[in-house]
Amino acid sequence: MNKPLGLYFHVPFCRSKCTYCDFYSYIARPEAFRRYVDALVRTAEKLRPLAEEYRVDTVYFGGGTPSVLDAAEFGRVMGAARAFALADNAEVTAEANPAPLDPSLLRAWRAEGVNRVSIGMQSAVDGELKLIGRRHKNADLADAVRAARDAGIENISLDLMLGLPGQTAESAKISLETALSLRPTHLSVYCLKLEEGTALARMVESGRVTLPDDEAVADLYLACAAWLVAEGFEHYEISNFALPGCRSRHNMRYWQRSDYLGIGAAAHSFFGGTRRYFPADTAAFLDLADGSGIGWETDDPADPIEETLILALRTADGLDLAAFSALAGKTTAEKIGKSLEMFTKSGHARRTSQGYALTAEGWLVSNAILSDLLLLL
Amino acid sequence: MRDTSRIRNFSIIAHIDHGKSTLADRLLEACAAVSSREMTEQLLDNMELERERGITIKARAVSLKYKAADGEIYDLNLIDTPGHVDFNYEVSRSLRACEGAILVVDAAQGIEAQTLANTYLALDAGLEIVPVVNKIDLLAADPDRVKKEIEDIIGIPAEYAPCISAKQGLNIGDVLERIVSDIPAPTGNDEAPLKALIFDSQYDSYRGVIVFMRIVDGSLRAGDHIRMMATGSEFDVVEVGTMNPLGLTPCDVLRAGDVGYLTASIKNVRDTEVGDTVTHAERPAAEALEGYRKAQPMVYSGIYPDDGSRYPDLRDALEKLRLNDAALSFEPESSIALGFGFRCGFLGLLHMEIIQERIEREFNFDIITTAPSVIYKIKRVDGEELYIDNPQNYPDPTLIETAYEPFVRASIITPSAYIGNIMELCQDRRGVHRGMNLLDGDRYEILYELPLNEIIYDFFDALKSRTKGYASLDYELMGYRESKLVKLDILLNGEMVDALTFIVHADKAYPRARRIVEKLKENIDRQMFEIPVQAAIGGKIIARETVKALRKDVLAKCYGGDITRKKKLLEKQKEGKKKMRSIGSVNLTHEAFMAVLKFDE
Repeated sequence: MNKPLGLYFHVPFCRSKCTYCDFYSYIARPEAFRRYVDALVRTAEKLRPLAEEYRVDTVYFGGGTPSVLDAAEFGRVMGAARAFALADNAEVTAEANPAPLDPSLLRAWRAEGVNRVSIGMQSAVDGELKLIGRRHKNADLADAVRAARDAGIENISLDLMLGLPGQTAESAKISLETALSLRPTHLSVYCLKLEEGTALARMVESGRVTLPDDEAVADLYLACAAWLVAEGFEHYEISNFALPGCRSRHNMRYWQRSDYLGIGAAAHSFFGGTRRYFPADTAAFLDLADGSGIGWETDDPADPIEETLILALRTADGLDLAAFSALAGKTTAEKIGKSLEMFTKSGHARRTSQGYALTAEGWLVSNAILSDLLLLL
Repeated sequence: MRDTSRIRNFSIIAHIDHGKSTLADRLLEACAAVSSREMTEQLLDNMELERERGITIKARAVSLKYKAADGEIYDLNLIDTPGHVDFNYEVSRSLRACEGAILVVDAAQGIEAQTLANTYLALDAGLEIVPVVNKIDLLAADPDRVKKEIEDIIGIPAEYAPCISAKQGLNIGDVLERIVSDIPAPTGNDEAPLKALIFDSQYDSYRGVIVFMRIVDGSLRAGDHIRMMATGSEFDVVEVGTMNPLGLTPCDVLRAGDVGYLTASIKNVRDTEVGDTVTHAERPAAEALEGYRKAQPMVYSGIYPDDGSRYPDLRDALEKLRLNDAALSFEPESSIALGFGFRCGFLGLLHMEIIQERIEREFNFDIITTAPSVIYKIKRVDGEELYIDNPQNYPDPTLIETAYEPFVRASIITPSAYIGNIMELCQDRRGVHRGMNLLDGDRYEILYELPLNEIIYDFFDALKSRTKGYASLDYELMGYRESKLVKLDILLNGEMVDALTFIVHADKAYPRARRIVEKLKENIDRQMFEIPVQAAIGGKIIARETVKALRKDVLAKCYGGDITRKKKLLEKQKEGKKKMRSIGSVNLTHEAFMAVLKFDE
């Protein structure tokens, strides 16, 4: 009855498309929102019987831009979430963009149970914000944070990006200072990854903008991590920093292979050991919702050994070797341990009380490290 | 004695692409040897690779019946020859089996280096040469100029040379009549002890080796007990016959003057070497036909399976190819960098490329080949002489009294406009200028002595690009010369990469070293640590580059719990790593290896 579960609702709509984004989101007219919310609610209802033995302790509204939904629409989705066994102390997060953040919407969120917002700040430099196609200006940010606090939402996370076009060590410092001055409980600092087919990729190809090179981004990342740690934040995952007790509980379940149900177009689930997803197609999602079945697709089998290794090493908690040995067998665990010991010598990993975790230097090249380790399985 | 007056044995010689194989096809058609339905383009070049490259790799022979204008029926034996300098020896043996040669010259391009080289081979063999001007259908054709060239440069009358278009089947009859009228009938005593010249052989899994030969003296029947005079091996003949365009046709007896085949349950082409003489074991000829030479590889390279587990397959492939190719030699070798493979000897670069391509194509797996090397001769201080075909075996300099490298005599034919470029190239390749001949109007023959080692890297490509493809090259081995050679080692992260060791002339060592380390730097993916890339002679580093350490390779965000996307990315990366070769602690891709071995400038 008490197995923990997370719920994720995907809102694929945006008021405009950021130039770096290749995630499933698009610009739609508000009329479309109502039908989509209907589909979210219906799909949640169809999934609920599966979750009878579960207790929902995190809810996450991601996008896209969940803040494009009006209070009534949002309330209907929250209602569907509450129909699950929702824990009293559940963490309920919604992502928001600073520009059109209406204080009354934040109050409505709070009333519906939202107790955490994640604000897409990205940068404090207007020139950088413009190049990546953000609608807001730096001046909007403080207003948005204040509005959240005024609404009673104290748990505030800010998203920042490193490796933005035109970004320098100085401008990154300004962004970080600005972020810290707003006293967030949590920061996500992502290294920009240039995705094929995005507007930004075309701008880079044509030479209209240049991105800082890998060396520069690596330096920024390390400097930023060191600074935040000095400010009392815990660097608890590759891209995430939290004040003590303020980790994102919802995101942690991704790394800990804890169950979550993702509802909406392009939403991913991990449930009962299987990964599933809804296709990245809103029209298809609407049709599926109308149908009798759930309509989600099954992903390739989720090998627990592989996944545990990949996911645990994203976190500061790291890989628990005893637990891993029970899962993967002694020989494999020893090989992995030996290899991680080598990475300890090169400064890419460190020992923990239960095993190993990567250092910030190691996280920076974690793909190379993890693909090496996968070869040992 | 049998009447041989209606037999003609001939071959066709030409520069590459001047239409040799197309003419052969037209002759076959004209003699109604094959219906056009059965006619695949260029029937004689029946290896897929030959058709694709438009070259003849193996010699072939075919017997045709031709009813001439005089009303008589003639047996025409066409012996097709390989057209590349790598196979000069094979060409010369094929020519020895003939009394005449049709010299095909392109009506637009005129005489080229291989035209000359092959003509000289034919003249050496005492052949009657019948010039033919081909491709007169081309817009740029100038048959009169080409005829004059033939007369001026080669010194044979060409006024009445047939002007044909093999492609369009124009005037093919003229060529056939000329074969009958100009080429002498074979002579030879069919009562004398048997002497048959082997000019080719082919392995057949049912019959064993099929030996193609010209009976010079004597006669041969099924059941005869024969001996190969050079190798000494003896066999009982199972079958003799002639080569019909669509297959082998058995007959009772082959006599002096005939071109035909024999089978004798021979298991190995090495027992039937090109140039060897077949005789009767009980009544042997007093002496063998002259000119036999053991197939001698000139170029060596290591061949390794890209996937180490395919080593047995590689052995199998090489063994199968060797069944049909007496010139291919190989023995196992191993490399720290590449694992287990074979050191292979080839007649030349083309031969090497052909073997490599056939392994990948016919046996279906990827291989890695090390840089080609010539055979160096070393005189040690203790007086011992060594031949080095693998740079890894090059002795320590203190043990060497004198080093020698093979030189070739090269002939390059070019329009005058490119003489400067060519001389610059040859000079750069340590060539020694040996003269220049004006061939006609605007074309010159430039003579150089060049180290073979300089030719085997990218000389052909460099020559082509510097002359817009107008120059042609031919060369022959002239022997060893003293040389200043050094062994150049390549080190990755301080460890020697044996597969990348080169022997190079001392004056060329530095630029070569620079180029290799730069190429490696470009092609090695960044790894977790900094990798020094060094080139060294003896213990001394002469060039260095550094592959910086990988700083950033991270998937920062897993959107909405989409773990699969991340897993796929890592899976791909892992698969990529699996394919890499690790040299000590450094991972190298197949591509990186090949890029380094390729010396395009």
